[in-house]
Amino acid sequence: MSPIDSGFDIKSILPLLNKGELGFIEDSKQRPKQVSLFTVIEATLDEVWDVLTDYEHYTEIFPSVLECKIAKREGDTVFVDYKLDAVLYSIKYRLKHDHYPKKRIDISVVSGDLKSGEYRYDIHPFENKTILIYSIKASATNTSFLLRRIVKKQPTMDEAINISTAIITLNNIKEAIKRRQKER
Amino acid sequence: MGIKIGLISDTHGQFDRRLKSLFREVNHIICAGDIGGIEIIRQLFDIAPTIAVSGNTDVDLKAVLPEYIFYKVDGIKIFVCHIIEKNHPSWGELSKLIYSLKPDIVVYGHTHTYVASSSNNIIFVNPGSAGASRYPVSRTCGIIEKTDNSILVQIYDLSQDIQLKYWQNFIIKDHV
Repeated sequence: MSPIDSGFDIKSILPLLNKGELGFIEDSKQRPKQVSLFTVIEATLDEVWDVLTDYEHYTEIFPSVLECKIAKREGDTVFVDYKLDAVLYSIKYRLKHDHYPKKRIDISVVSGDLKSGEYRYDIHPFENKTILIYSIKASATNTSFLLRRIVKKQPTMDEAINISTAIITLNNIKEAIKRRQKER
Repeated sequence: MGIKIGLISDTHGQFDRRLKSLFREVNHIICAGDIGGIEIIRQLFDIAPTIAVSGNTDVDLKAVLPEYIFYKVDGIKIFVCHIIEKNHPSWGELSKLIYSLKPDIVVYGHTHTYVASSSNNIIFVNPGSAGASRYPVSRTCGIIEKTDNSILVQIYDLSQDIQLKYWQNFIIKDHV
């Protein structure tokens, strides 16, 4: 899984990303389709990487994460146990985070209530800013019976939900970085 | 039978119930910003799956909607954003992005004035404003229909009885 091929010099779109996110939806007949969201963060590569890998504080960074605990580390791979607020009830699952230091993180489902799903962060520094790309290839039906009902009725809701989820995730990361910058 | 896409923009919180009838056969809807509330998106989804971007007045919706979307459906590459203005400060970068992505169709809004034109093998469509009129122009929306050899852009007047106001057929070999 890599971000959807954009076919342009990523740095050239930096001024546009100051206005908001750029979303790509995969050209595929299979579902779920991958979505990739591009955003720019007013922070250095190190600041972005520190937040992305600070699993001990994910409950503060992402409001929907109720519990987060590192299960084990194997070199650059980190196994993390999550408890997520899935509207009306919670779900538990383990994810594998493969770190490619300060370049990207590949995330895949290992076990638990999530049946499948692939996620990935790609990080591109540019002067004192960082372009962060978050890609999701997962069905929203994994997380909530309410979403399962919605997506069953309209399968294309998967892409809409994933685009919004990605934007919320990126905004959570931006806010966490801002808070840390203020605290310094 | 080709794909049909409903086009709507600048609703500014006003949902015209007659869209249910007009868009009843579309495969999906594109909403090009200045939506005016998540309730409008929900009502559009009740008609058909909806792809939406935020506009300059969608302050709250920016938390869940992107500024730009690029996707491909039925062989057509589509780029959606709210503002396309050659005098706008962002046009330089935006035009570079658009011409590097090489979409077949660009859907946008903001001006409240419908447009269907072609430039450098890209069809630019602004469905106009489907919301409360702030300017002396008709409330409008659009439908794109792809057939084997053409892309038909239709603009509908929503001011009184829904009427086809304007149409233009773009020959597909030049675009897709």
